[in-house]
Amino acid sequence: MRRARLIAFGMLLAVSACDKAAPEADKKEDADASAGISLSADQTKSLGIQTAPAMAAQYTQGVSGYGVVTALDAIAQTDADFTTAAAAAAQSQAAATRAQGLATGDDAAVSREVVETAQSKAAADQAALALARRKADAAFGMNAPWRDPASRQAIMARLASGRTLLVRVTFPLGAIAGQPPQNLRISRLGAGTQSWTATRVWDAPADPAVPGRSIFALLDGSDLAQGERVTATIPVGAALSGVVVPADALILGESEASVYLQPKPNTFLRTKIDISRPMNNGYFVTGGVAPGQQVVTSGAGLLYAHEINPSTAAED
Amino acid sequence: MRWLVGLCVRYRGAVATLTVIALALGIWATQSAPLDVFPEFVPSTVDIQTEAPGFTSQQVEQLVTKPIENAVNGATGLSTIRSESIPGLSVITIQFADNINLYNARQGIAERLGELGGLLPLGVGPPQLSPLTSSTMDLLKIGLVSDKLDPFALRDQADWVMKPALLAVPGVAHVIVFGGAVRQIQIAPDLKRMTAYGFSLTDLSDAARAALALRGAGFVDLAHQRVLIQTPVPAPDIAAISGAVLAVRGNVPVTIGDVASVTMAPALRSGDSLIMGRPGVLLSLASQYGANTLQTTRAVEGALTQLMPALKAQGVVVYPALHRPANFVERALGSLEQSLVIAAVLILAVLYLFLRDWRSAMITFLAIPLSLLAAVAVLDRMGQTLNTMTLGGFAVALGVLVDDAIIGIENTLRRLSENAGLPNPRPRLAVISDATLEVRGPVVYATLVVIAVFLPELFSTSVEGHFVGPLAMAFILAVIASLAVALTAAPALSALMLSARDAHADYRWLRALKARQRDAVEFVYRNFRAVAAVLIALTVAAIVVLPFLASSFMPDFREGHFVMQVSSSTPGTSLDEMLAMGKRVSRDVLALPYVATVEQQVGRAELGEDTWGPHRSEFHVELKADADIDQAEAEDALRQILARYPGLQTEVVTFLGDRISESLTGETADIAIKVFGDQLDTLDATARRIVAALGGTPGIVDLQFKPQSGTPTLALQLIPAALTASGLKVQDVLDAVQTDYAGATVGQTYAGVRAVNVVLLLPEAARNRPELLSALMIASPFGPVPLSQVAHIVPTDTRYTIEHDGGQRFVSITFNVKGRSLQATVDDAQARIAKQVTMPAGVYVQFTGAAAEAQAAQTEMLLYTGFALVLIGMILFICFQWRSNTWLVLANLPFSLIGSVVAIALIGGGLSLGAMVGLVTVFGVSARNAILLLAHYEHLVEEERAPWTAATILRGAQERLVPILMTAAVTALGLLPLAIGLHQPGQEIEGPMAVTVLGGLLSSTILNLVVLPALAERFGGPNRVSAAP
Repeated sequence: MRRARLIAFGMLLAVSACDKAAPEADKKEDADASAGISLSADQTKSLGIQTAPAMAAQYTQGVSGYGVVTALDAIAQTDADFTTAAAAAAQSQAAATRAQGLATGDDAAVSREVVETAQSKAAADQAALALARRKADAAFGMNAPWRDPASRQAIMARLASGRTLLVRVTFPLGAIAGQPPQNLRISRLGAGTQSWTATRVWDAPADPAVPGRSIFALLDGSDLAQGERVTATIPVGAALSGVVVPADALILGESEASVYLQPKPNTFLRTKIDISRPMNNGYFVTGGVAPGQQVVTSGAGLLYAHEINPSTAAED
Repeated sequence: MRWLVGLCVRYRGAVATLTVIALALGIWATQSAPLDVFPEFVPSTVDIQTEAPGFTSQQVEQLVTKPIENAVNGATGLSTIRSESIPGLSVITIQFADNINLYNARQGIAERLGELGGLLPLGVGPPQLSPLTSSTMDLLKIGLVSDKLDPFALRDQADWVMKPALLAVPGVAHVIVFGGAVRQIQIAPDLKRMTAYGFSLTDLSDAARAALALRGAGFVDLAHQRVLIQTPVPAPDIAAISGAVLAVRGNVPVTIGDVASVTMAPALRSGDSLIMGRPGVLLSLASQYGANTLQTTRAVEGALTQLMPALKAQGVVVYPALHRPANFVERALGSLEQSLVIAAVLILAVLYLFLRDWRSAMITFLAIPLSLLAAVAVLDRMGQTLNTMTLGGFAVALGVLVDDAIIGIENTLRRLSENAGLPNPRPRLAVISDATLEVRGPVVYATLVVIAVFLPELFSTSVEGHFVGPLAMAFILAVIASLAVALTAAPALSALMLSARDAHADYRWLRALKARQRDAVEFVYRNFRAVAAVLIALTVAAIVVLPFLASSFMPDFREGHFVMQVSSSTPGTSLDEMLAMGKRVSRDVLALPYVATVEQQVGRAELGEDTWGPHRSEFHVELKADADIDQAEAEDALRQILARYPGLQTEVVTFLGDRISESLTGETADIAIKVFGDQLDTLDATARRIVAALGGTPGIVDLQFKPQSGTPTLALQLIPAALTASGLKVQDVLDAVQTDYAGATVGQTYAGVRAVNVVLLLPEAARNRPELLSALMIASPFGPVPLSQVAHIVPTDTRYTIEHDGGQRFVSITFNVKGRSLQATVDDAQARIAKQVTMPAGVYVQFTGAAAEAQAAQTEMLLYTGFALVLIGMILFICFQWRSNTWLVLANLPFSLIGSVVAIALIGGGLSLGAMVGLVTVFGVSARNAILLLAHYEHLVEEERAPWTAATILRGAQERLVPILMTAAVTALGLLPLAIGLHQPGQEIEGPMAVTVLGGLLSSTILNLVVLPALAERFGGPNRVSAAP
């Protein structure tokens, strides 16, 4: 009986030891996973691994659109039409008023007919002015800055002299919402990094033939030419601080993008990164990689292969 | 038979002349006979390759592979059908059955492909049927590197200078070119400009096509002449294409160059190569089916020699033999030739030693080349090459050939001597004729028996059968020829050259030997039970031990060349990454003092037979010809180098081993475990569990599961509502993506005879940034729309390859076996899987490869052996008047095993292919000796009326001593050089075979001379006649 108890006790101990051993093994595996891949110095050399430090950087998210520098003749024509109409309206209104004055009282100098003719002319000219305004609005929007009579002359003068340019930009549908952004930057197509900030931005009338949202912008001090195609960028949100990881470091696998960091010699840790913020030579990331950390730029493909399927014959 | 012998003796001069003519013709046939290292051992195969640009492997499987498989399945002569579907390509491999008209069968496949018609989706190329290629396929690998030429110019040399010249060599099936840079004029659209100006890719493509228009023109008919009008052919002129009009806007022409950059750029690569660790160009030549390796190689080298001065002048360094299978042929046949010459000298010496007369020795000796040359001529007519296997067949036939001649000559000499002693001697020619006929009856039956012994090998359908079939055929032809020679040339030459004075009394050593034989036979008489018990015990021990001797059925060939299969352990690794690794591996391999050359080929070449992604590569390592290194040691050194590289899956194989395994399983390893089922993920999971279960199994090396899943993929999921809103059709989006990322060929330009494709393709900087895919602008009727607006772009993992065997999906786990018996290792592996892995529903496992093949071959061999035994029994029953003799012959056979097994054990071999052939040979020789001895007893009793006593039995045994010893000695000496050259290249099969035969000869000769007489005395004789008339 005593012997049977001893055996049972022994078995219990064994079972409990097994129970303890399993989680410990799991923990060890987790620890291994979090510790990344450890290679010998020879293996690191064989893989030809090279690293580069992640550089600190700032990034501003933006949306891009395409545009064209509006030809001056269209603006000039619209302005001329409007100015002519306004002048005609003012002149005929004055004539009508004058005729009305002359026709008032007993010593009326003009006949009732003359007054009516002058009033009719004034009304027609007002209508022509309204039409010209509507045409201008249809072409350049309800919020065009030259609608303000106070600044109209100056703007038109700058436009006419070429010191200010009018640019029509179209952004893809849904790229921008609400009020038109005031911090619009315009770049020459394919001309590197030279860009200009718009001085005034307003909504352009919708064009049923063009999908997206169009915006007019006034641009000072650029050397763009009329009819030239441009790209436009609107920064969204505040500038972010982070690092740039080189494009050569990128690994795509297991449905995500990642890079390998080298926290210490011959140890490599795969870190998921977000590649939605591309920069010229890499990707701006805000998490997972600290400035100055060594990022694997060469040999990452085989490092990943080793991590994913380590039981290769070569190492058996 | 009597009239034939009589005729030959009568017209001996004419027969002798005909013999000389036959010898001359035979020598001529040998000179012109094609030489090869092995027979065609791989079943004839064709590939059907279908390009499906831009399709994923699953799409290729569903839309291309399956319809083609369905179309060709069941075609006449089709033996097996395997397929691989990889991104952009479907490859279906068809193996044909044996003994069919391959060209008709191939034509049948072509016709079925023609009937596929519109079953394949638009954009998929027509299925291309590969030419029939030879067993070893590889003919020559040539490498080019240059410090002076750029990759374009180097590739031009390969494509436009070397390839046409080499393809023109008879016997060359195809030349596949890896590496360098293929010239291509690339029109890379500036998508921003295109969008800003409102041009679509279709506009650009149309403009490019228009610019590259090629039209024929008519002619002008004059009164007396017809004058042709010639139109220009588009030239590879970058400026002209760049300046071609795209559209006219505001009376101003907009050119292609305004919205796209036009450059000469390398075509998109699907493969590349390194030569001696440097970027270079590799030309891989394959030989046509039935082409002779040696002749074709030499012809190619002749063509190459003519090209060399021009290549050198341009600064091209040529490596002409990165892999030259002909080296193995030359080495193997060279050592075999040397062995045969040594054997011939030794045989002549032995013949003289026994016969003590140069004329009888010469007649006997002459019968050997005469029979062999006749067999060579017949083999040549049958379309067989002279290879190590057919020569091996001749080697094992030597004993029978000599025996045939010796029996006749020895009997003739004896009868001439006896005749000379008679008071009234008979005419010499009549004595010769009778003496020849006297022994011929048993000899014919004995020959039939040895032919029956070799029949199973002749009819074997396995890969091993393809090896030993020609050996058996050569053997059978040689012994039939030998029989004919013994009935015609031998009596005629005897009649010309022999007389009674040529018979000599026995040497003293021979008399002493006969005395020892008498003592031994008497000892066996006295201690029969003990001797029988010992023999039975030894035989049982031999039979039991044999299967446990470690060996693989097919030997490791000592080719002086290794193939290192090196793949990234996950798909998706880039070409550049694999090439960077290849440079380091090449450097390490070249540091080995015995390595001559190394090359690496990565991925696949256009229309290459391998369906490899960029993550797979192969190194060919050629050892120096004078390298003083054991093959196994060199192989270990290569394995050690590869072991330093993590992230790789590697195996090191010899080229022939690789080809044999690949033909058996489609894999290069010894064993492939195929896991069949419908669900690919389930198959992967099961395969991983099997790999875990097999880890640490003794004997298993290079254990690999090459997971095909895990290929990084950006999957496009179109949004129908967004497409509609944008006025886009699905095709618009897919065309744009395909053109930008896979390229669209819009025309060709021509510089002389060299064609250069013009391709519309996104510039590399834009193409290689994954995030830019979402920003790709698609031209819609309402203006440009970014791709992200009409499609979700989902990063995911897909499979690189989907494989089918017999139309069913499978994944495979492979391993090689080292230091343990193949069968034992496989048994162990099967047990582990059965114990540790639970198969999901619908999933099952099949072991294929060398072990399964060996098992099947052995089963087939056993079956045929059973039939052969029945046939042998029938021949023996017809041959003997005493029925008991039949049983004595059959009972005697197993004892001959003893010496063979001891010999196999001594060289550390096992039941390999060579050993099997050796055992069969031993059975044949042993049966023949037994038949002739027992037939001689019948002759003594029935013809010479000798009483059936111990004295007669001893007399018969002693009269057979010389022929049996001569046969054994000559066979042994014929095979001795092969046995000594056991470790020579090319003798991997013949070496063990020779050792097995030598061991078996020793035991069977002793048995026949000492034990069989005792057995005959106990169980044979006329008193035990059961059915004799």
